[in-house]
Amino acid sequence: MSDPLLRFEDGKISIGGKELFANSASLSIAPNLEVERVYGDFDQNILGAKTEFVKFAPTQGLRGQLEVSFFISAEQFTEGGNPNTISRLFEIAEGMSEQPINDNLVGRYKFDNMYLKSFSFDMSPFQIVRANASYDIYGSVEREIDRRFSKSEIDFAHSLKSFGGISASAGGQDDFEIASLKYNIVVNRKVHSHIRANEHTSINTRADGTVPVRVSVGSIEKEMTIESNEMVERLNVYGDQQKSTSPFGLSDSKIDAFLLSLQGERIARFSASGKIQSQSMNISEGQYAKGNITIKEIVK
Amino acid sequence: MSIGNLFKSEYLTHVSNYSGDYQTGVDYKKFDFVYYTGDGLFYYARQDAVDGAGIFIQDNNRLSLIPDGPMTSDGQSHYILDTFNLLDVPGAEIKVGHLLNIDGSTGNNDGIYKVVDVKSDVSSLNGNPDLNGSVINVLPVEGSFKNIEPAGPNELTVTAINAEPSDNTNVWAHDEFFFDADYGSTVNFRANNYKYEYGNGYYILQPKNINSLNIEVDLKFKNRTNRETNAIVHFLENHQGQHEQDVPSPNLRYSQGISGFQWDGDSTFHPYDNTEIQSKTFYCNDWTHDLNFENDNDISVKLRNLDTSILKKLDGLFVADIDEYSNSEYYEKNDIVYNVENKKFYYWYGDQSYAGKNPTATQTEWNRNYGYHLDVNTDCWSRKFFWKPSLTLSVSQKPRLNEIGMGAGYSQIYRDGINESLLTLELNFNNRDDAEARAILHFLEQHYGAIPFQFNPPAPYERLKNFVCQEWTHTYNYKNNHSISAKFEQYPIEMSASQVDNIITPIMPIAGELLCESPVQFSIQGIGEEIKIDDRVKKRMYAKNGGDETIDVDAMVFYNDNVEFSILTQNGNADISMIIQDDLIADDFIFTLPSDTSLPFDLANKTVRMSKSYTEGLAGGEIFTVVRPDGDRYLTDTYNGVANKFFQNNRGVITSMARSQLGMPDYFAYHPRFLVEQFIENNKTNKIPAGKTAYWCVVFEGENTDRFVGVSSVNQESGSLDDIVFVDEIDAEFYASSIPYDQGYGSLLAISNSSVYKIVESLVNIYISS
Repeated sequence: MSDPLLRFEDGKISIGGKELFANSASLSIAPNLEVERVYGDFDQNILGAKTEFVKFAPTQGLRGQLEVSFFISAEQFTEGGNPNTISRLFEIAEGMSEQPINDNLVGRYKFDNMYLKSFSFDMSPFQIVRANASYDIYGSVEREIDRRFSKSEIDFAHSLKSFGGISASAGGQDDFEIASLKYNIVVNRKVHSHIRANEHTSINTRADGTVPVRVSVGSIEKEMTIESNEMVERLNVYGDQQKSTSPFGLSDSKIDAFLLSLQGERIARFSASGKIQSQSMNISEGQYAKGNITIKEIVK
Repeated sequence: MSIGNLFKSEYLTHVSNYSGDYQTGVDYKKFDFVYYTGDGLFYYARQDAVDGAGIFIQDNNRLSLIPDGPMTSDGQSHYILDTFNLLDVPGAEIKVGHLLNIDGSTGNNDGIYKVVDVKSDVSSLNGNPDLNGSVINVLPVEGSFKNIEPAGPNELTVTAINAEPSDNTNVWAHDEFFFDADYGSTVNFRANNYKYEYGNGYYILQPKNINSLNIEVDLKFKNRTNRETNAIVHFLENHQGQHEQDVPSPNLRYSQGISGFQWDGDSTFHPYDNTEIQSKTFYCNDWTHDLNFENDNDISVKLRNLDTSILKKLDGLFVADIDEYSNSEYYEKNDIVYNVENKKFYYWYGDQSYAGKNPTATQTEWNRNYGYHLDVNTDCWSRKFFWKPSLTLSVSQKPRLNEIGMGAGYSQIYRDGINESLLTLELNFNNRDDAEARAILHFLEQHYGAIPFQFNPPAPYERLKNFVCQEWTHTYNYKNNHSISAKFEQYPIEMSASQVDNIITPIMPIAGELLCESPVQFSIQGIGEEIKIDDRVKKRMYAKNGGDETIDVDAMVFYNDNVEFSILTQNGNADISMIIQDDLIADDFIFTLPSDTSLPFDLANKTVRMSKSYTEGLAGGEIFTVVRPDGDRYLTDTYNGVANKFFQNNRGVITSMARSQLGMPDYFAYHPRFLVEQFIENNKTNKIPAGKTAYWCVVFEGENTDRFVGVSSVNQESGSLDDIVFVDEIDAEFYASSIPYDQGYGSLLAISNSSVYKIVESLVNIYISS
């Protein structure tokens, strides 16, 4: 007899053995199958060869995705007084890893061989800071017993206490009032599987089948966008603010985000230092003028 | 770089050698490559090469060997359990990557193993609390754990061995391309044929030479680390003839070119993962390296093989290890067998699995349609190309017509004979599993692009036609998923596989032909041991059936001249006493000696095993071992603790080898009976099968001749003193020989149903010494 429907409260979500206070998670796994049809025997009715369906043939290993949306909290991302475990968990500080994230759990299902594709969060007034992470998964999932999320006194990162700042190349942070902030880091990965490494018959004894030999880390780019009262004036073709007579020797523009809990506990700091990619200004009736500024940093 | 270094092979590549010269005591990672000054060659690390660091554990009651480790993609792993939990003390610090040599096992577990994991303080290995301590998880390199071996009183030795490049091929490769390619790699086949066209669309294809079928293996390596990429490119750059011993010359001997390298078992893939292909020589002078990102490279490598002889079809050209048909084996679709009857390969076509379905039935008469072997069970076995092509297929035709140009731009087109539009089909066989891909590839290579085969194209072209396939490509898409594309060209003559085999009328088998050796020389004048006139000497005489049918020998008649010859055990001319040794089994050499009490050494009624070997000459003969039955076998009997063996030479002297060995007197004795007589009586035949050799024993009956008079001191006519004189029965005539020998003659007439000569005469001669 199958288990009853799993309640959200009983659906524990953990990544690399670390529990997350998620408000949604979407796990998908799919084989890559190609339909194989061949020419069959002659058929008098159509005066030609019948088409025979032979099979679905696998063309790659099992591949899936995990999209998880969660709240950043002090309890979960501060260990031993170090507030930046969130960076380590998502390997942002180290520039991502080729090693798989194992020991993952979504509801009743556990799985290994997971690799981060992107991580992002939003800060907006009076809101809890909500993050999103997206992963690629290789191999299959296994069912586990239900594990309830253990509630504690969660102290979420909160935009009321958290703050961010922007400094344009030629200006200071005081020039801007930040209304909201977005952070997004994306890693491009490549994957391949060896032939011989998967020829052993033991591969067939597990549902996982072939898993990649290497999921490499390619380019890593992070982008931060703020909504503010101002735009960057005198933006030049290099993406810098140029107030002097030379476009050379200017510093990069930078956006910082400091995440703090409602109790004022420091949780994490994120930043992007690079060139201004875009900016815009919108004014409409009944609204203040709102500017959007995006800075991109090339990590790798 | 000095001029001297310029010519050292160490510097003849573009890729930098970051590991430099091999250093003992240094750990190397997989894909590192080193220059080994010991032999001046480069070596490439197949796996992490961890220095042994002198680690040596030798103890009893300490180490347990447990076969049941986790199953890995590299096979079954094992555990070494250190019950003392002392792997962190100096001298025993075993770590991942070490190669351990285990010696002294009483459970047949000795061998070399690679460490893949080390854990201390394990309280319950495999859920068994009795198994606790430090655990080394190992993978077999040479040998494997065959039995559980708990720590016990026997002294086990575990040594971490150093991986010197020149003597550790498990860790270092020199001439073996071991790099594991990606899915999507392809193998291209192309046959080099002469095409002879005869008009009306008729043609034949003829291989240009015995190495006409070439392959090019296009290996894809994607997303590889710099370490691996450097090793691959360096390996290829370093196999362009830099290390050849012979100086290149414009007149190369065949074997003097670049020696190439092997496509190693760690790189070959289905269905080329066989020792046949791994022993072939490959070359590479075409590769591409794309540097994509900081540690991300794509490489495409084309390996070529140039010397696969199509004469080695039986061993398999590229797809090997095909078993012979077995009547007890259950076969299923796409199984391949080699049928020894007609020396052809057959492919299981049926959807059901059966045993006992012979591919052919042997016929007594040769027939143009099927020769001597009629294909049977054709609902199971096939020699047609029966695999169905994948969608889609494009068929274009361009009929062959003649066109004549006339004035004012007018042209007239007219027919150019028959077979004006032979089909060319570009077929795809996509997403095929391992078994089907192997069968298709084997089928195509066994026709090596020149032999036509039957194929039924999709309707409306579905009439069974003959095709040849001169080029095809195999792509390994994914595990158990292969695609093959092949170009089928219609062959204008429609024939079945059996008809193709029997285009040439075979040489008809000839009737049996008896070939007897002649002359048979008992002794040679002045050479070797002499034969006296009163000796009794035997000698084997051989005959062969040189024909294709069994010969019946009806009579053997000795016509003696001046001496007496006989055939051992023969009782009358029609009593044929031939032995066909090739047709005998071991038990035929065991027999019981007659109850002749005059036999020396108490041999009467003894059961003996005669040796198969026989030595010629007067001192030669046969060995007999006294045996006693023990159930369904025979054990050697002993005499005073020594194997009770006898040797009887061709003069009849029996030597007790046991007595001789024990230093006892009277170890030999003459007996007029040859012990081999009973063996001949038991096994003699008058039939010589085709191609077989028969023998029989001719005996010189010196002491029995009634024509012997003796040595005369009187020269009766032309003789002189000490001549040997022969006279006939009535003393009417005598013959005197030259001093001091005379030659005796006899002729053996063998009468048989031989096709060429019914009667074959062999001359037997003997020199007799005074």
